Amino acid sequence: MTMPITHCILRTGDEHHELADYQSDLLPRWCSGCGDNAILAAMQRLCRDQNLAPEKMARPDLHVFVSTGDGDCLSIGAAHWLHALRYNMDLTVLLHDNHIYGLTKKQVSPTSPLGTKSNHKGLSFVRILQRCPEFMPGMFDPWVQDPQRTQMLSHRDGITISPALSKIYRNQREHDPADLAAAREIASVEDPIPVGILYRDESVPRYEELRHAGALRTPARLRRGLEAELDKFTIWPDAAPVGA
Amino acid sequence: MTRYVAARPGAPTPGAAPPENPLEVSNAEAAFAVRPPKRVSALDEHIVEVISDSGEGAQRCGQSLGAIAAKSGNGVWTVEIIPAEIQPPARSVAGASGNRIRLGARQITNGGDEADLVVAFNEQVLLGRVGAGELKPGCTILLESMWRDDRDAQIAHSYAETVEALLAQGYRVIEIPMDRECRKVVPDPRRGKNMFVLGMLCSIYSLDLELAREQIAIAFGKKDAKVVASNVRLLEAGHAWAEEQLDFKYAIPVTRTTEPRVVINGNTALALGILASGMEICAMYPITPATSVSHYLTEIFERVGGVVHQAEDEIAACTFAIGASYAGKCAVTITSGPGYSLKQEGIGLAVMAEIPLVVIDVQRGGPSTGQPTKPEQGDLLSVLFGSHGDAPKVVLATSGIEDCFYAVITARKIAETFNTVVVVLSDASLATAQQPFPRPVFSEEWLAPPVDQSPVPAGALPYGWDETTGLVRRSIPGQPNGMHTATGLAHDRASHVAYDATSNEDGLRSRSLKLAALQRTLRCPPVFGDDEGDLLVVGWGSTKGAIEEAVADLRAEGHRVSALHLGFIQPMPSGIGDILRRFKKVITIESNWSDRPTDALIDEENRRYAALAMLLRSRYLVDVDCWTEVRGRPIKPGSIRAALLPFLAPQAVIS
Repeated sequence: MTMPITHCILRTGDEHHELADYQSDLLPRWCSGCGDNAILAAMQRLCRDQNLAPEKMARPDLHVFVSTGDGDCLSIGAAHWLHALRYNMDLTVLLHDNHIYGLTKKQVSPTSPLGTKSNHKGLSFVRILQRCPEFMPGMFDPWVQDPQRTQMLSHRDGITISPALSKIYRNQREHDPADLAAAREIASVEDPIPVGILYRDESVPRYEELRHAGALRTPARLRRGLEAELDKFTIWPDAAPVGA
Repeated sequence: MTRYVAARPGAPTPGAAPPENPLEVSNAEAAFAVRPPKRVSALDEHIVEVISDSGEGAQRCGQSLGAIAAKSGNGVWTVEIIPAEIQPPARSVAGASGNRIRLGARQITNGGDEADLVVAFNEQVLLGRVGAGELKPGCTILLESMWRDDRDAQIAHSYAETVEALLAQGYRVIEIPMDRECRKVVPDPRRGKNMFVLGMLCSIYSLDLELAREQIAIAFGKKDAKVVASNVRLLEAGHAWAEEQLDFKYAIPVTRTTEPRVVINGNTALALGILASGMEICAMYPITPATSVSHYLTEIFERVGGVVHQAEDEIAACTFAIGASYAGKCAVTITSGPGYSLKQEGIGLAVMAEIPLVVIDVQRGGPSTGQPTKPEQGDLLSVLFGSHGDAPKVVLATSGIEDCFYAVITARKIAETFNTVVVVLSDASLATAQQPFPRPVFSEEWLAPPVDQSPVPAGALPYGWDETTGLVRRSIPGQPNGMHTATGLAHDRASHVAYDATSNEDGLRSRSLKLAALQRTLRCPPVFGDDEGDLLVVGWGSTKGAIEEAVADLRAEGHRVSALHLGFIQPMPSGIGDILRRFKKVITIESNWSDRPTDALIDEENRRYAALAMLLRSRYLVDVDCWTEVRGRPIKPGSIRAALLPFLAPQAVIS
């Protein structure tokens, strides 16, 4: 499904947010040319396009994006990453992966896959191949120079590749994100680098569904709960005075 | 069929005819025999132990006895006797499972010294308790006698030998055919012998059988009605047997109260405290002896809209709680020593980013894996100082069962008022000990306020630390105008990464000042005894009851000794130094290791002091001594008394 993310979707009654609303006065100190800049810009445009209220965080409607590096995610944090996937919480995890061959994200495409992820409930995991200009400046040169070494995965349930992009990236493969076996096969390929949605299963129960807190927590409700429990353990004094 | 009741030295070998015994009655004679009148001894208190192999229900029996006695109006303190393995071998010395129940005419505050009466399901677990020095000289032992005729000659021999030896040592051994008697009521006595024993004990201690029936209904309420009925029949059989066959009976006077009381253990109290505090999220990873807090909480929390999250590991449990707190409402994570070690980095983050967090550490034997089921007070310095860098946090220790409930409520309030980490220390002895205490009366003041989503005032900085107190109004994600980057990096008041020394120091200073701001509000704990004297005993955590009992005994003998028990350990209230200086000598009593001055290598240059002693010495410059015992069980009042006597001048007893 194609999403027209070049348009700003304004819902009646919503506040309208500009790109500046998502930009803080905190200037990042990334190396010149670091892919983090591109990822951040893409995230900000996504928020603008989705018109996400910058400060609105009513608990059940949290939009949570988790940025993680390949060391954080795949090394020291690997256990936590696996379990985050298992919990299937409403999160989008962005892996800034700059240690593996891949396509530079310096120029963000208008059809950036980031755009579709926010509509997905449960956990979305996005691996971003990112060039580190300081330590790995030539890492992705072969792929940048030869578009044939990037394979775009397309599908009506995945990403539709625009005609402009297709002119450059002719190496394409139709891949249904529901096909787990094909996804595993594609995931094990390093060259050409597959780009697109590898796998999606929206039938997996989400953490929030399983652990929903339920009705409003009022003091009265807490009191009732506490008194009911204390009742189980209480020794009540005798009503009548006691003889010897 | 004759009933063989009491064993004496020189008891006959199996198969021989039993000796003359005035209590020996035949079925035919029973209806017409004149039973000797039973002497009922009035007692101020008694310590009873019920021990068996794991899975035979001695713990349930003991808990029930405690509850029945409490309902009758006795003071009660129960201690669980826990084997270290999940399935220890049957009939093994180390495998004893059960309960100690201390019954009294007045409130009981600790497990006491040695047992007066022990019911044992086999002689091996009994030997375990004897070897551990848990029986008084001349203790009455009610011993399951089925082993005497066991088909395995080694077992029969071991049993007979043990009985002989115990009699020779002066114990009063009464062999009881529990298995045989139970078979008259149920086909399989392995399930239910404990109820027979409960019936016997109700008879021995003159407890109301109706209360016992009620207790069984409560304890087995979730099971089949047939199970409850069967257990009641066993109870009644045990009671009747003891009424007829035993020549002794006790009555411990009761104290009636006009207020309702609850009988729970420390871990249940912690869980109820979490519920009462209004916290919504508890993150944990299973670890002995803390797990039962969250297990129980899981049963009750969701009814009030709370969530218990079992994380993939201890670190994730801590960071999950921090994340939840960050989103707006203080959360709690529960663990024991090893888990606390893992959480240190997360705790440091919470301190640095000033995210409220309550951490509960139910201490166990350490270091490393240590002794998971045994109590120890070994984590004090670790919780105070374990996080790298300067990470000031609040630490308080619970000193009793009732305290466990209220401490959590207090911890939550402090965490959210001061935007800091509050550690609540309990230990394995409080975790499973039960004691009646006044039923808490609900107060809305306990509850966490709703999540603040009002706009942040213009110009307010996320870490706009007050110059005097270091406090800052917490800004919660979602508050309009409040957006900022929270970080574990050194940061300035605008929460920008701080590269300069001034900003870094500003932060260190402010976070430290917060502790002083809390400290100024704390009251000094009261002195137990006179305000001055020859000896002051200082303690913290679960030793309070035993220390005060020992000190009370010594005071009754005329000694000028007092006790002081600390709740808040970081920060400590003002006034403690003054108290210490009013005594000729100060000594701490703790269950963590301190070097023995009598050991050859130890001198004042290298002696390692106990944890609280170290803290008091360094802050107050008083020559605080320490006496410690780390034996995997609560320190007994008798041991404390014996330890203190050498420091006290010989006194004429004041009559």
